[in-house]
Amino acid sequence: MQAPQLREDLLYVIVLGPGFGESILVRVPPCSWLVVDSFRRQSDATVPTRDLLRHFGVHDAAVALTHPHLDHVDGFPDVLSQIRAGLIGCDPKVIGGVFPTADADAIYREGAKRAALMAIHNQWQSTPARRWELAAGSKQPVGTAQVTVLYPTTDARALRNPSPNRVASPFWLEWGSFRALLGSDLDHAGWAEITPGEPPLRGHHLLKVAHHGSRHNQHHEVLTGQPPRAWVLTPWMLGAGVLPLLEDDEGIGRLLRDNTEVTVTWLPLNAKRTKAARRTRLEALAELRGEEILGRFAREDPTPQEQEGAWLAVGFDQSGKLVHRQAGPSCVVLCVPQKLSRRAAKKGTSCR
Amino acid sequence: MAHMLSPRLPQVDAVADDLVGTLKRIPEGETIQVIGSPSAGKTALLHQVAQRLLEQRSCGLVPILLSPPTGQRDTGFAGFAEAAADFHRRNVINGEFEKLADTKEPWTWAASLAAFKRWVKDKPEVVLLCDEPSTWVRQTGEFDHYDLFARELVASVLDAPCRKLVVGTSHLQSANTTTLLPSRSEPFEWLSTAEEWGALAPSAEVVKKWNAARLGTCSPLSIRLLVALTAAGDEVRARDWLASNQNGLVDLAGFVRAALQKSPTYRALTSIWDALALLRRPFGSDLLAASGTDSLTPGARFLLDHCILYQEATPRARWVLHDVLRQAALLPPEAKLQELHRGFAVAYHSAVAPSSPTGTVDTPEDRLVAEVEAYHHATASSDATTLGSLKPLFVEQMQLLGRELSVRGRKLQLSGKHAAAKALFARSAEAYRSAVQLRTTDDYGHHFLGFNLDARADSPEEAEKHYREAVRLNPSRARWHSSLVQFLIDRANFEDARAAWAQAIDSLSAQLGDLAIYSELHLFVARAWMHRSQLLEARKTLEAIPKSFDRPELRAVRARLEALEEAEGGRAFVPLRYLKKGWASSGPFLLSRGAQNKPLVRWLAARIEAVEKDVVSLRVASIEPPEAKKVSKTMTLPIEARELRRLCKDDSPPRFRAGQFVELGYYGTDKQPTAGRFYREDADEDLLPPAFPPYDRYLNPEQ
Repeated sequence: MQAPQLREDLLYVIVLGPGFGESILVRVPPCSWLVVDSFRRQSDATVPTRDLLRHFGVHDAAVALTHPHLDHVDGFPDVLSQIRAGLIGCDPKVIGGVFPTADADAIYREGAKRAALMAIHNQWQSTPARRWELAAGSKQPVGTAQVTVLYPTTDARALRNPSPNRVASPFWLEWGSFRALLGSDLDHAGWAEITPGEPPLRGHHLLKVAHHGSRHNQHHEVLTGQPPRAWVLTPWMLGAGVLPLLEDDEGIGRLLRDNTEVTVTWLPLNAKRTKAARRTRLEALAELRGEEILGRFAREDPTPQEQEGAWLAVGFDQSGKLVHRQAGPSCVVLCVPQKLSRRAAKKGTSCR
Repeated sequence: MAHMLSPRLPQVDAVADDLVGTLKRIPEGETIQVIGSPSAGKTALLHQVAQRLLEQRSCGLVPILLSPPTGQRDTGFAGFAEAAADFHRRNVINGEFEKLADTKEPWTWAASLAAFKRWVKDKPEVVLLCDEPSTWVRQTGEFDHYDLFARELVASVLDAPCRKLVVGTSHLQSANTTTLLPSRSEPFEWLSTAEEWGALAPSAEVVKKWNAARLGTCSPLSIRLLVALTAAGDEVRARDWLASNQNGLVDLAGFVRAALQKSPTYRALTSIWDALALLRRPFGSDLLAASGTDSLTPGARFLLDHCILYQEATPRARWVLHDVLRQAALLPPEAKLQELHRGFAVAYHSAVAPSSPTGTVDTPEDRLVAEVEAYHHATASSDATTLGSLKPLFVEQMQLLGRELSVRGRKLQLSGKHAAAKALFARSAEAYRSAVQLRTTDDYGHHFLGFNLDARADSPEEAEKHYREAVRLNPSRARWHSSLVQFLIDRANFEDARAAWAQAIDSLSAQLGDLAIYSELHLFVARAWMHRSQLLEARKTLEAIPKSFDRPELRAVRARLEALEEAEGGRAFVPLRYLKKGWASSGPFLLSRGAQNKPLVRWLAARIEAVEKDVVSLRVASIEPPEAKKVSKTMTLPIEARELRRLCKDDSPPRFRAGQFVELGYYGTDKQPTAGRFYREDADEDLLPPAFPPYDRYLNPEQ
């Protein structure tokens, strides 16, 4: 993939999300890094996060695994082989368990998960100083910025066999006046435990929307606030499953009720049907917007090569102002046109 | 008192006389071979020849008798120790025996072999008397590190530049002269001697009346077994055996054992038989007692002494359980086995202890041979206390101990006894560590030291160090590379694993024509990649295997990889056993092709994704028509739990949960599915090659 150009004075949040898998890189000026999750590109099994880190010559960074779902763990060992110093964050409770035997899907997911956990375990064992237990309240500096782990709480960590999304770790990032919320895949029950409280999550400048925009992973204390705020989400596609959804009260439709725009690293419009199987995704989006969609990716999905360009890099200054935005060619910004802004609670639109 | 064997083998005396004459005539380096069937008296013949040569000292020939335990992993060391003992006994060597016997540091095999070659070089007087060297090496068909030592001993013996007399059952290519030893026993007078058969005399009398011609060709062992079988109550089978198949001596021994087992009088004898089969050499009364003979009734003891055992035709008159009877014995249960080995180790050790009141070994030569046996039994018992009181003579014995402990640890691990298993791996590692300290360039020792540390999963850095050292010392061993690469994959150190793999392929490039490489290296490495869901790496590894290599385990790995690739692509709609590329065209797997005279027109392969209250969310692949090669479409289908139960009737599982697989069928013109079948939730049979140590040992120390 083409790497973004980074200005020395800005804090950058780079979100990678080509359709299956999500990773976030934060560069705090001048050269401190936070790496959140990783994925493996399906076409050639490469690890874009590692490749980007290599491109920027990064060997020292705080690396965190928010939860052990396949689209967040795959390639994590390769990322750690690039990053030789810095904290490695994980909830140690996710390490262990019985390996499945009869279900290929479960075997495949568990294999990738354990590879990541093994790599983390190795580093924690050999260099205990790199151990960073992800638990609510944990704060770590990343250069001149500070990262606060919002979840899981002590109560959540005591849950028996919770789903990974139930105990996923979102991060609150502070740098000067700039605030960013990296929402991971935390579900609504988890957000409900965090909010309301400190920090005030709605006061963010950047939100990496939780779990590809799924309704069950959003919380009004996060979403309601003063627009415009930079919101970004990544798509998720596997077999019959596609996210984000495009219904009125789902996914993009839901998000555009609270913000004037949402950036999707690419939008799988032609991916079969919506959840309710009532209409195509294209039809759903057209209905949402009220007029015909522009742009090539409304007609056909990007090629695997184009999907490599499913990234967004946004640069902020210390006041929280977004001053530099770069995007891969498949990135789509969905926004509420000014003439429709009053009706934003009901309808949204798309423009590229 | 048991009978002496030699009077019953008149042919042995005659052949022995001839052989002594021949040995005197032939030049150095030549080999005389004697071929005879099992129990024809070949071992007895060697003893006779040795005895004659010793009696005729003036002829200038010195016999060295080599009769090590057959087909054992330590046959090489045991054979060398026996040779050293006899060379010393005959005053052929000076000094070196003492070095070996009083060693503070165990010998290496290389040093031992070099010593043996020195002992036979430029020694015109030496005659090696070799008891069936073709049986010294284990015949398993699989490569085993320890077989190498036995092979090297056999080669050194057969290539020795001195005279050799070799007995065996098949022709030896290097033999210059071959003599046949007929199998005869002259049984009639023997069977008629009532005082010799005692309580068994009636049975001997019965046997004597059978086919005279056939009895005349029976060996003494066959006669004794026929009498035993008759005495144990299976006269019919004894007579049948004589009439039909005299060659199956192991069969006859098996019949005897079975008959004894059924007989209330003799039942206790079988466990003694099984115990004595663990002894590898002729034994004295102390070891006989250690097998439990005190518990036998006088009748059973009489049968043991007269039919199952015999005594050597040597002045020492030690007891012998013939190899044929050893083969017919059964292995005692594990706990009993260990107890027996422990008892034998202690008995051997007591016998060699100079201060022991029960000591029966009074020469340093016999002591050396007994020490090897003591160590063997202590190793087999894994008993730390016994082992602590013994010193190995050879570095490789320590490795063999490490191996036995490791194998036992693995068994315990597989049966879920993790703590006990880890303790054995630790002891195994210690044994290998001691060996490696004595022989730092030993790749085998480094590898298995690494392996056992790895199995314990508590010192990965040290394990990796020894794996790497093994590869460095011997880069031509595929197994060493395989272990290192697997270790790195298991540890999710993928970058180093790829580098180690590249090094392996580079080092082994000259051997890639050998299919064994793929079995040892590619198969296991592909499986390890697969376990970590690195499917592209697994695919690349498997694709490097030539088509000519086709094994069930390879097919299993390939099938698993295909299934996982389907899962990776989100196409895992059927259970593992059916999941392969193009699985849609092979289904449906449970539904019938027709129902109520309506044909199946479409079927859904589905798995439950979520269950919420009364609604089951299915992830569905639609296949239309039923023989379609591809899935027509995939979707998420919510269905009421009650409706799903109705469709599947009695086939529904008691509780719906995510991950269950179900097929739904559309018949005729029906717009809705009208039948469903759930897959049974039994675990698939795992046909993959065994993975050890467990992949997740570092994550789940309890595994």
